[in-house]
Amino acid sequence: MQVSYKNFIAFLFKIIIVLTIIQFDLIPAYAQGVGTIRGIVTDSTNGEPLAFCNVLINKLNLGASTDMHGLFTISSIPANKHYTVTISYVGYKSQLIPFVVNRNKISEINVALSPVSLKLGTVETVGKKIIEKNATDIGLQRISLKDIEMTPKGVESDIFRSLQSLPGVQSTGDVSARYYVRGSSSNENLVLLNGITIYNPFHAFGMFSVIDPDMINSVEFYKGGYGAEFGGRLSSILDIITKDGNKNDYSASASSSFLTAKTLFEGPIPHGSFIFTGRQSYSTEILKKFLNNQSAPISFYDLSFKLNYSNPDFIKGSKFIVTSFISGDNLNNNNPFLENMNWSNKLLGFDWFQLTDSPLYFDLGVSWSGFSGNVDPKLSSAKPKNNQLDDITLKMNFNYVYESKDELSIGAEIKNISTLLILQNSFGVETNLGSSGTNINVYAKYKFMRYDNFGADVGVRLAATSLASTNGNPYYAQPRVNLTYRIFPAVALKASWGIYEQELTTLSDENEVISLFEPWIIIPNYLKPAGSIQYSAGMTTDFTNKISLDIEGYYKTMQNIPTLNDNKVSPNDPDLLEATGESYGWEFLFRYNNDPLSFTASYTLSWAYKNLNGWLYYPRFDSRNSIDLTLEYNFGNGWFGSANWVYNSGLPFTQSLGFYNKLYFQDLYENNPVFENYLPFQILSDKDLGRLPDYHRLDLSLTKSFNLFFMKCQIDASIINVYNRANIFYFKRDTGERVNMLPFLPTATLKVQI
Amino acid sequence: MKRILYIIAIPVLFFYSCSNSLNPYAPARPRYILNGIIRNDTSFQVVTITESYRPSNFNPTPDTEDVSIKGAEVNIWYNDTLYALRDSSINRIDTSRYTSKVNFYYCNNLKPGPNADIEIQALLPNGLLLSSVIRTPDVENDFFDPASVTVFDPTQISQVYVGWKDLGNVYYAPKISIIYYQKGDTSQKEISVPLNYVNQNGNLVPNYPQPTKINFFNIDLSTINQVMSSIAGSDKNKSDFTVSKMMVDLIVYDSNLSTYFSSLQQSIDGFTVQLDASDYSNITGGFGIFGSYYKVSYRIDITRAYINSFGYN
Repeated sequence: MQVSYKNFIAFLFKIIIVLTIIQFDLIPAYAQGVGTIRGIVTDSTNGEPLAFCNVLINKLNLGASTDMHGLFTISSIPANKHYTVTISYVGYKSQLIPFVVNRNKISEINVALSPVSLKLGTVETVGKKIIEKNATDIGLQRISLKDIEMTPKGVESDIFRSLQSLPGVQSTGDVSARYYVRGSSSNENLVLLNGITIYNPFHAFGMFSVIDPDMINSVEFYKGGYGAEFGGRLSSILDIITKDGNKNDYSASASSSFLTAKTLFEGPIPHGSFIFTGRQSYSTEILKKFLNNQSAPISFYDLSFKLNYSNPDFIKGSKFIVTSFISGDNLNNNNPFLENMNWSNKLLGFDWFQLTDSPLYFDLGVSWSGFSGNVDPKLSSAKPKNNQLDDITLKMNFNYVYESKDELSIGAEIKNISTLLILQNSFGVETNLGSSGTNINVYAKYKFMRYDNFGADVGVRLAATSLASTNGNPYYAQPRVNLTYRIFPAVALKASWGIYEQELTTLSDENEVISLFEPWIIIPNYLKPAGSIQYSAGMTTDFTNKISLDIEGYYKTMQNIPTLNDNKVSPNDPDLLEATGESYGWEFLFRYNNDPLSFTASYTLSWAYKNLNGWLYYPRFDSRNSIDLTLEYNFGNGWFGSANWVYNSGLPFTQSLGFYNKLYFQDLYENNPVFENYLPFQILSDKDLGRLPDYHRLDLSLTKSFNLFFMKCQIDASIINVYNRANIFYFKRDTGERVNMLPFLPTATLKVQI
Repeated sequence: MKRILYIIAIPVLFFYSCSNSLNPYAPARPRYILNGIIRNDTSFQVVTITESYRPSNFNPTPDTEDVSIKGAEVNIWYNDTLYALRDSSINRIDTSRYTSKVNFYYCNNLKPGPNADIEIQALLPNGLLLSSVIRTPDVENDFFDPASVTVFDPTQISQVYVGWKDLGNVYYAPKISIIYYQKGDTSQKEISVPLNYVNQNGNLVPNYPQPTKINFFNIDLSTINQVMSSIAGSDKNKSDFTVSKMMVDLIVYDSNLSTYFSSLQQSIDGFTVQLDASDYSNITGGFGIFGSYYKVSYRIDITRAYINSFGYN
């Protein structure tokens, strides 16, 4: 059933009415005699918002964390009394701020925290850890600026590779930064940069992400159970907010690894700031280690720019943001008989974030995201390919916090997407799979936060129009529920259920472990949009302020998963077939944090299946057991060390039935090729029934930060695969050669900041 | 701290000692492969039959044991006539892997016409039957585009265009050559004409036509000039060379052979790593290809004035 355009307009009209009512405070307050505090926490040295800070009203033992904009709101505070709020954050001096709230008023408390000097040796211990008793955050991992700075650099520090250490997140090896969440393909992960979709978030054949960690302020990663405000993907959401730039002073930094050189400029503008980052590869020597010692004439770059403006004399409580991002990869062969390839992302967005005098804030955004990928065969036998995607999105989100602490979020997203895809398949059949359409989604979400020990997040996302199918969208209504019940002070039970939909897909060949070209298309009309129903339940245990244990189980079914038709031999055969999927598992995450030591251990027990045309098989990323152990130690005086050990039980592979001599020919003018032109070719068994040997690897990293004259310097030395484990990547199908993943590999990076 | 180190060290040592052995083979019986390309430019048709093998170290290249199947009963049906193939063998040209003779089945009295069905059946000594049915390309008499160049006169045209009928999703392999004679040698000589010359690091490299689905080609005058110049090369006695004509040979693959050929082109770049390649075969009961091609020729005359401009006769 489709929601008609008329109904959609009526729905929008109702939203506006409701918002108007809220704006004029016509909705009766849940409780009288209470007030609210609200504020933004920033870094005093540069004005950068600090996400996920602890904010605690000591007398009431009532607290909150700042969101990705550094914003916090605490309501239901008894009015006309004196309180002290403590703002604390790892690596910063805590601040205690006295305040008084007035009845039915919002008191603004904006705080600038000062970082602890390097010379003090260790980071400051955060005061009391805030446990948001009823936070509905199952499946959510938050990664702060400090976490990113502590990330081991390796060959190239990479946020995607950091995600792979989380329980429930799989990779297929050292060579790829692609990640697979809870049994779903990598093209079912949504990557948002300042709210804008990045369609191809990879550099260098998928080895690294396009996101330079230096430009990141904060990250939220949903492995599932995400709210109605997100849509368009079945599996996970990676929501990245970049830095605003230094509001106090101009600064620059430069750093270099064995692979790239990068720079960052930032500084103030009147009532705002800007930041520019750039990264360029300059050597491909280290890439040989990833490519079985093969040289690749590839170069890549990425540029980002963000400007923000917040002038209370213009509009009080407003913040305007212009953000832009460009990335490009070029594989240029000098030989005219070898093909060239290039890929690029281009993002441009404008966002208006507005705090109002009431506990309402909203943001309105318009953005464009473009992706293009090309294969120019030149004079080679490669097949030409061309993929273009343009995504123009208009979105609005409104959030209202009631005095009862309940929250209402409503919003709409209008997304116009056009794609072009011209390619030939392996049997020489040329196809144009491009199409275009407009997707209108609206959502409403209500968070019941009024009870201290119980939280509920109930929402629905409605697809008013469908990009993909003319035969109706079975997932036009996507209800989502997220529950938390704190059964004991230290133990919270959590659960979620939701329906998710995806109307875009990549033409990904499951048989490729390194893939150069993964074009995006709207799911063709002859298929239904892909859908998923997800259940998860778990327990969060905070034994002490320093020790926590999270346990989550999940069960997920997937329908109408577009899967490349390997057996297309005629133009009439479909390019894509519908598959179904099922995955389930348990995830354990243990954290111990006692400065200067921190230890994290994660374990995942999982199963994933895919069913295509009645044939059940394990996807390539299905690993039964995964363990990740990370030890970090702050030695003081700027020295920081970490060790990371990863274990994955063997990934599926297709066993061989043997070889046969296959007839190859290029020129039938020469002698009859049937006599002698043969090369060995593997006969494959049933798909993915075999298992590769287990994978494990130990990495060590040591970082020294120091001041040299007027410069802040950081040297990072890392050793990848310390004990040189021969982790198998694949067998070459023609020669039977075993290809291993990264060997023992020492690397280093140098960063200088002015 | 010590406890933490123990927590890490114990599993590291445990897993470091894990076995790393891997058997890439699944249990299987042998598979059989039939290959044959029926052609219209000869009555001598050849088919080979082999079986699969499993090298012990998973590297097939050093495996030199002959895998051909002898003693099969191979028959071809064409135009309601049965052609029984006989087995034979010849010496191998490339002995880098196999040193034994090449075993094959043949008949020397089958020259198929266009748009005709051909069926093959091979009964193996173990009773297994391999079979396939194909249709030869529909190449009629007026196959070439009437707009194609018939006389190359550089004063009138700046390029050579030759086109032909589009048979759909099939491959065409054109070969262009200039026919000439050299004084004192009665044998006909030919020199291949590329589509163009490509600059590669300062050197002009000829770009010869490859099998394509495009049903025409164009060659610029500059390319033909270069080929014409190279006929005599450094020989100063240009008048010793007599240029006769330009010939276009065109091989048209049938639909099965086209699909098979296309599937061979899967290594599209040097970096994509594809584990499980899709494999096309039209052999019922086994692997391999049974296909056909049709070869036709087209003549282009060259004006005497143009030939003489190079000093040739």
